[in-house]
This record gives sequence, C-alpha cells and structure tokens, in this order.
Amino acid sequence: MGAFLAMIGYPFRPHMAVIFCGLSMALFACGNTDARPLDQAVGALVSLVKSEPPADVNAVRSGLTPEMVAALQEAYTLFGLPKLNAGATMTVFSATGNRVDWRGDDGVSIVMLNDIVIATRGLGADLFLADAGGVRAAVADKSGNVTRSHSWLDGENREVTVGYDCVISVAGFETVDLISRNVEAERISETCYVRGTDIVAFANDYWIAVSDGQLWQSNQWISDNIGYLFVQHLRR
Amino acid sequence: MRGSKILQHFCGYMIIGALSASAAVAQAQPTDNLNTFGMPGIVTMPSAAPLDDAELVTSFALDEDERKFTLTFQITPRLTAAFRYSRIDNYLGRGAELFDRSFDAQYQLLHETRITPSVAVGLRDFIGTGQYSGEYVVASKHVTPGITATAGIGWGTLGTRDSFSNPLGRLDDRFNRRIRAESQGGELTSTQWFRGDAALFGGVEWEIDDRLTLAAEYSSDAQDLSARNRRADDSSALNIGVSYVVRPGITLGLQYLQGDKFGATAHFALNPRNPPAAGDLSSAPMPYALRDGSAGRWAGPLIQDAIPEDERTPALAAGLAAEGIVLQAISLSSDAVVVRIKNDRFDSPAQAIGRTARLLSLTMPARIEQFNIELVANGVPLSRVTLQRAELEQLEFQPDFINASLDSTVIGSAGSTADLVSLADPQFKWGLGPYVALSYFDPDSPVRADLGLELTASYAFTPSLSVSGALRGKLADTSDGSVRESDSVLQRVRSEQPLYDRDGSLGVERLTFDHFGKLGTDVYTRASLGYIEQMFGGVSGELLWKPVESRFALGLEVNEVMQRDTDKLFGFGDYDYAVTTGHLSGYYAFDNGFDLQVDVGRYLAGDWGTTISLDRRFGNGWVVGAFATFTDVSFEDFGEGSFDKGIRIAVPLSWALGQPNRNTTAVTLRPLQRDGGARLNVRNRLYPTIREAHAPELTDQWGRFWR
Repeated sequence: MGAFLAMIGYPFRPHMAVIFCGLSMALFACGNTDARPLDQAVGALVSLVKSEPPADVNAVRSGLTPEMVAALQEAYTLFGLPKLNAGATMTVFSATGNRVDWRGDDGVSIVMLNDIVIATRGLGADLFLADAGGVRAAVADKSGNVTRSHSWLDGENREVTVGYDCVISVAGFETVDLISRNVEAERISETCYVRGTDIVAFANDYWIAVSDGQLWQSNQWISDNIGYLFVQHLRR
Repeated sequence: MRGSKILQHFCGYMIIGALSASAAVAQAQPTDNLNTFGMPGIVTMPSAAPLDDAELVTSFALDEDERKFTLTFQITPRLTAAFRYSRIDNYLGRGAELFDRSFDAQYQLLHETRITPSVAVGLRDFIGTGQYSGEYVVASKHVTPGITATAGIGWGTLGTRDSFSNPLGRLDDRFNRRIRAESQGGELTSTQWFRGDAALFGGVEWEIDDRLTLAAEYSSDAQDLSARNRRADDSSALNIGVSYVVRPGITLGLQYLQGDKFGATAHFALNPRNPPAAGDLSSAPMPYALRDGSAGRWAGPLIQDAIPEDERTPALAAGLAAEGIVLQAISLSSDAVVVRIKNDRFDSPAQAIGRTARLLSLTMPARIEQFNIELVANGVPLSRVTLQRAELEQLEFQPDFINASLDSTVIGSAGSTADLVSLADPQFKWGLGPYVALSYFDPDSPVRADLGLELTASYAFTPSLSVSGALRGKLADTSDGSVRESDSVLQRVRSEQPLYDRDGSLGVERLTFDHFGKLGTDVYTRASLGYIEQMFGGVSGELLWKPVESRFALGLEVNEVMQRDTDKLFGFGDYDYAVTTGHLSGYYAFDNGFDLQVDVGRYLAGDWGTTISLDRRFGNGWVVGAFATFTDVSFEDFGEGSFDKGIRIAVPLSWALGQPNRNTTAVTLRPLQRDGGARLNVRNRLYPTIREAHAPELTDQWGRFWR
C-alpha cells in the first residue's frame, strides 16, 4: 500500500516538450533490438510523470483499520518520508541475524539492524550504509554517547563518509498509536553532531514501550535529500 | 516554408526546455553573477570569482543589436571557459548581420581571503575573428557579505574607453602597439594579447537577498559593433543590471546598457556532479544469498544445491535477463564458475557485476567458492572480475564493505576457459523508430534539425561477427531547401554535408559487416567493411592495446574509403574520391578525471596532422571536452576558422533519469565544419567500449557493486 517511488520522482518535472518528444518517440518505436531507441528512457519518463496522487504516511494510515492490523499474521511496518510526502507499508523480505531487509511492492528496501536503519535502496539519495552498532544499546540504556559513521554515493558514484558523535537522552513519555492499540512509550532522543564540531546534523527519536522495552516507533535521518524516515512497527 | 519555421522554433524551445528542466532539478548553488557574455561578471564586464567547479551554464543574452548564446564550463576550480555563438545586427553599419563564434577563458590567480580580493586574468574572444577580443586582469572583493566590488584593467575591446597608454609598455615597447592580423579567424590571437591601449573598469554587485541582485558598472568597452552610435564615445559608460533567481539554476536578468538600450539575459546552470535524482531510483537488488539455508525463506526452496543440474543455467539466465543482463556463456568446475555477461542495462559495469554476483549466490551450488564474471562487448570478453563467495557473504552491510570487497577481488584480463558453454543469443534484431538529427552553428542558422524515421537491423553470424545497417527516411527539416555552396579548396569531405541532407532524404545511413576479436591478453581488434558512415564507405581496421590495469592505451586504425554519392544510396560516382586515412592514437586516463587523447595520422582530405582532445570525464558518465586538429593544410586553405576544433558534451540518460540506462546523448559543437582535419565517423571504435570494463574505471565506481 502506498509507494515511495511515485513521490520521489515528484520534484522532477521535465519540460513538457521533452516529455512529448520522448513519448511520441516511444509510440512510434518498435523492434526487438536490445538498443531500442530511448526505450528505457521513455519508460522511466512515463513512470516519472504518471499522475499518482501523493500518498503520505497519513493517507496510508487511514487506509488501515484496527481490525486489519489486529488480524495481521506477520511483521508489518509503516514507513513515512515526510519531506517527500510519501508513505508505504512493508513486510520482511529477508533477515540475517538481527538485520532485516524490509520491502514493499515498489522496489524500495529499508535495512535495519536491531531496528536502527543502516541502509536504504531505491530512494535515490540513499543512505548507503550506516555504521551505528552502539545506538540500540544506548537507546535501551536511555543515555550515553555513541558514534555513527554514514556513507553515501555522491553524484559521481564515489563513497562519501561522515562521522557523527551522538548524545542519547530521555525526552518524556508519550502514547504511540499503533492503529489496533495504543502503547505507552518513552521517547528517547539521539542528537548527532558532525564529528569534531558543535553542528547538529540530525536528531533521531525512538519510542520504547514502557511495558516490553521494544522499539515500536522511530524517526531516523536518511540523507539531506530524503530527510527523516518515520518507522512504526504495527506488528512485530 | 512556414512549417519548417515552426519546427525550428519548436526544436529550439525543446532544447531550451530540456536545459532549463535539468537546471531546475540540478540543485545548483545559487549561481554567481554572470555577465551578458555568460562569464563571471557584473553587467557586461568581468569579475574575478569563478563558478562552482564543473558548473555548466547555458546563457542567452539579447539586446536590440545583438544576440549571444554562450556555453560556459568551469573546467577546474580555477579555470573557466566559454564558447559563444552570436549574431550582430547591422554589423559595422553595413546593413547585414554577422554570425560570429568566439571562445573565452578566465583563470583565477588568487582566492579571496578576509583581507585580499579574488584576482583573475582573462581572455575574451581569444580564438576567432576577434570581434570581442579583449584581455583583462580583474579583482573582486566582498565588502560586506552581500556587496561585492570589482575593479580591473582591460586591453583590446576592454580598453577602448578613456584609454591610456599601456603600462606594460614600460617592460617592452611591443606592448604599445596592437596590430590586428589578417586572419581566417580561429587562430590564437596571442600576438595581440595585453597590447595596445588599456583602460580601467569596475563595478558593484549588491545581493539584496538570495534571489535578487542589483549591479552597476563603469564599462571600459566603447566599441559598437552594430554601429548604432556613429561616434562610440557618445554612449554612456554606465551599465546597470538586475538579476533574479527564478529557481536554483535559473536566473533571469534585465540590463540598461550604454545609456540608451535595454537587454535581457537568461542563465541556465547545472552541475554534472549533481544528478537531479541524487542517486539511483531503481529497485533494490536481491540480497546476497548465504549458504546457511536462510535464503530459502525469501527466494523459495529451489536455490543453490536444490536446483536440478539441467535447470541451473536456465535459472541463472532468466534471473540475469530480468536485470537486463544477457548470459552469453558459462563454465562450472569443481569450485569455481565462469560466466560471460553482456550488460544491456547498467550504466555502471560494477553494478552489473554486483547484480550478477547476487544471482550467482542464489543459483550456484554450495561447493562453488569463486565467481568469475567476464564482461563481454561485441562477443569479446573485456575483463574478468574474480570474487570470493564466502567473503561477500560476510561483507554485505558490514562497515567499509565497499573497500573490503574490492580488496578481496581481482580484476584481470579475460582468459580462455575450458568447457565454456555458449548460450544462444537472438541473431536477428531490428528496430523502427523516429530520429532527430541536429546540426549546430551553420553559418546561416544556429540550429538545424532533421526529423524522420530510422529502420535498424542486425544479424549476428557469431557473437563477434555481424552485419548491421540503418536506413533513414526524412519526414521534415528546418532548411528552406537552399544549400549554401561550399567554397572549400580541399576535397569536400565534409563541407558538402548539406547536399547529403538534401539529396539523401531516403538513404542508407550505414551498412557494415563488423568483426571484433582479441589477440593474446591485451590486444583487441575490429574490422568493418561496407557503408561505414553517411559520406564514406570502404574498409576500416583497428588494433588497440589496453592492459586491464593500465591507464594508457595505444590504438592503430587504418581505413581505405571512398566518398559516397549525395543520395546516400550505394554509389561512389559523384565524387570519384578514394583515400587511405588512419591514425595512431594514444589514450591516457589521468586519475583526476581528465582524459587525454592524441591522434596522429592522415585525415579524410588526405591531410596529415594531429588531433589533441582533452575531456573531463565524470564518475557518472558525463563528459565535457574539447579537441583541436592541426594538419598540413594551411590556415588559408582550410578557410574560415583556420583549423578544425570543437567541444563535445556527453550526457548519460541515467544521470537525468536516476535509473540505470546505457544510452548517452552526445553533442559535438564545432564552430564550423570544414574539410581539413576531418576524421571518418566509425560507430564502434574500440577504446570507449573497452575502457569501462577495465580496472581504473571499475575500481573508481566500485560502490555501485553493492547497489
């Protein structure tokens, strides 16, 4: 339900004349060569301009009833990208130890290690890899200092890595609405500074249930272009 | 012809639209102020701060006498260069308009510091007929964060108002005289640089906010090419301008010039380093499958050892086909597998290798420890990437997985493999689609376009031996039917191209037999026979020496060709011209992203000489470069422009779309196409296909292995 990709293409609005030319070329082109003129290009253009209405995380949520969520038989997670007005639900595609690869039907993959996002694929400005091994334990301890190292591929496909020093702190008690039920949770904040500076790069939030210590909801930073990823585990 | 006018305008808008669309999404920094010449500047005068590295700006400037189209590129952080095509109405008062082409360059000598200004030296219109020729040294300094003051000294056209005798004259008397040499244009005007009288200019730019900038300048240029003011000094020295950033990358400006006319500018900026999608939007790859049975949960039970032996290769081929990769051959031994793949989808070969490795992890039996992946083009394996299966199982999503996986990987030359089983590939391929052929900067028209249908077909006798052709039928064009007659004194190997466009409205674009091969480990071969390009047919042979790890390659090409008839059919009678042409070519890929190519040999018109090409190649496939050819044809015999030169830009569609794609749109802009220094257009030269599969480029892009 919902799709990230339709949204991510949203800022890209090529001039209509170019689209027109591309489409008219596609309509006329045929054959069986693997170098069909502009074929893939036009396919991509079409997917960029097709007018799917924006489905943000609230729209996706409103499509889920408490009954539906209560009846879920497998792990099911709601994701949102507020900056891109996009939302989607995903299930577990593969799991290796505590590392889970979440996917929906749009080809986007969100990889989490102990519920901490360590990589995304298919969003464009993906978080290529986060080395954030100490974060989950510090969140459980509700305090502490941890380090992170994030890498991206830049516009020339080269790895760019930035180190962060992060401070974990308690931000108060809140109720998390998991659609089929409410969970009393403590919000833990993680404020990350670009290493060696006092510049705040991002601040993540994690909601830990008072009852079971599970991480049910979080807001985790992905990249400048993508912004934060909202994560809500509707069923574990 | 009314219809053709409409098409011409449409195509013009299309190009502008495409540029503005890409500019709009390129997330360029707010552009530094550009002048009407498309260079860093105040209103018409230069200023000293460079653009962002690699920024590419298309500028349009018009006033009531002049229209200028400029392409500006920040070649290195300090060096800015521009190519300009302009139209000057009522040139020198003679009533007729002049179409002029010019080149500029500016080099930043000093960066701005808290105390000292940025200082640059520049040449305006330094190759060409020199309508705008002038040189300058300029300094700019931020007085406040929003206000920049600029002052400079100019020579040539930039030293024509309130000029004084050249201060450099004290160093050498020769600086006192600026003698305009008779020229066909195109020659470096270096004998005039910084000579003759000089004058001072200056101005102020005030950035009111992120979008709005006001500028005022005192111009040292009193030249009036359209001879509107009979006495140049009648015009005002004060120019003022206002510019507005419509959206990042698009700036519109208005100017009030010389006290009596208005002008307007539009600047479209993009940066090849910043793709609009900021990354790859395509679907995530399959996870790298472990051998502990965990993959069965997502991939199903029929994986690895559970696949029946006779279905293993079909399963792999089907998986690869879904990724746009063709499995051409496979060999399975006791602990290793060799696959030959043709990558039809991924602009990044590393990504194609990564996807192949993931599918091998799913389909190969557990005993296989080594994956050998050979990239193939035209039936010839180009390199072998040897991956350690167990290493990759450990590495996915581990810290530093890009470098760690590269450390355990060997990129070597593709070898011969025992028991290699080749798979059938469709032998006959065809396609029918529209084409647009654009030509630029014709003396009579800035852009000419042909629109029509193209039928392509190929038949592969073996993966490395094929016949292929293209037939084009023109449906519409922007020309009015008249063809400017060539005044060339050389064999008209290129200058009568318009005749081919006119007469060959249904013609054979190309029709060749091609064979590709490999001699030993590092030498690649190509042989082509037939109608090689629009204007020439014959035989072409090429050898290329390129070790997998090498940044240097050496090529030899020899062609024996005849000039085709202008109807683009099968005859060679119109010209009765045959020539042996060919080059020894050296290629070097510097590790800072610049590529140098030097070709020495004989050109189509029988002239001997050298072509030097320098390209800046970006990690995402963009190329921005320039080339120049000097042959034994005298500048006078060459005609307008004096020698062949141009700039070239290649834009990968993957960059614009954020999706894997192997198509690239390439444009070569020549100020003028003449007959000297012309090379045969061979479609499938060896170096471009081979280099991308070799170590320097593969290693540089290795991050995409995990994408």
